[in-house]
Amino acid sequence: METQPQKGQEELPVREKQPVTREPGTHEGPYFEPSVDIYETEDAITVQADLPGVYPDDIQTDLKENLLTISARVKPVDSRWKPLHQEYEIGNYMRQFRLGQQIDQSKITAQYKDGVLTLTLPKAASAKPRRIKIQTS
Amino acid sequence: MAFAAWPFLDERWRYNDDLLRGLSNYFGARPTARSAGVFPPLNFYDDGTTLMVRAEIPGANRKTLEVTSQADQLTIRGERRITTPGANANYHRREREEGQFRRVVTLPYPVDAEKIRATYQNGVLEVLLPRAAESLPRQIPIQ
Repeated sequence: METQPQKGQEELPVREKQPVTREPGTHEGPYFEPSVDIYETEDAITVQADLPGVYPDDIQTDLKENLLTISARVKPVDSRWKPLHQEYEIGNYMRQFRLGQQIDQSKITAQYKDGVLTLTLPKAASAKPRRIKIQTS
Repeated sequence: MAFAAWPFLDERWRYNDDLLRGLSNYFGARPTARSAGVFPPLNFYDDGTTLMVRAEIPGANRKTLEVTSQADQLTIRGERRITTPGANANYHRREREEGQFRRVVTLPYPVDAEKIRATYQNGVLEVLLPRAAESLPRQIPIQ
């Protein structure tokens, strides 16, 4: 019997992969849009992307004129494995974002762990909020 | 129902799947995967001696990942938590979800329970289940 996760715990829903419809990459095969979280603090913008099944060396991130591109190539399953039944599709990943902030290119860091890419994009000094002291007379 | 996930249990659906797949191939579309509606979606492969079950579970909490087999059933369970930034962070997009999961599937043939191996690499859980001797192909000599 299928038992439900414990009370008070949210059950992970199934999300179908979203195929990329615009600007396909040059690699063959389908492309999917990875799910992302993007949040901003005073100092940086952080992007976390789900890229399961790729090797760190096959991830490419690129920032050009405020256009951030994340793409990753997925190695297909070895051909000796014959598919019996398939519930999810396998394909490369590709997604682009237009950043509204100036980023310090030289300080971008990327980390990949357990299928999750974390990009930290530190804001350029000019883009950081600066508190203007209010003069009182 | 997770049990319905295995198409061999319901020949009608299997037939429809194959039919649809055939049609979409005919019209030039790529074959589509059918989710069973329970996380995680699973892909099944076979190389003649071993069954391979794979699931994409990015960012799973390794300590909670659990694979168990009992008789002809395989259970995969675990949890994924999203590390949240400090209160002063401002979300632009929030698409990744967290929660628990538990998936039970019926295996298509007997496997050697002692030799089941599971790995979790690059966010993919892979379970290798060698066929039991009785489910390996055997040539029958013709008298």
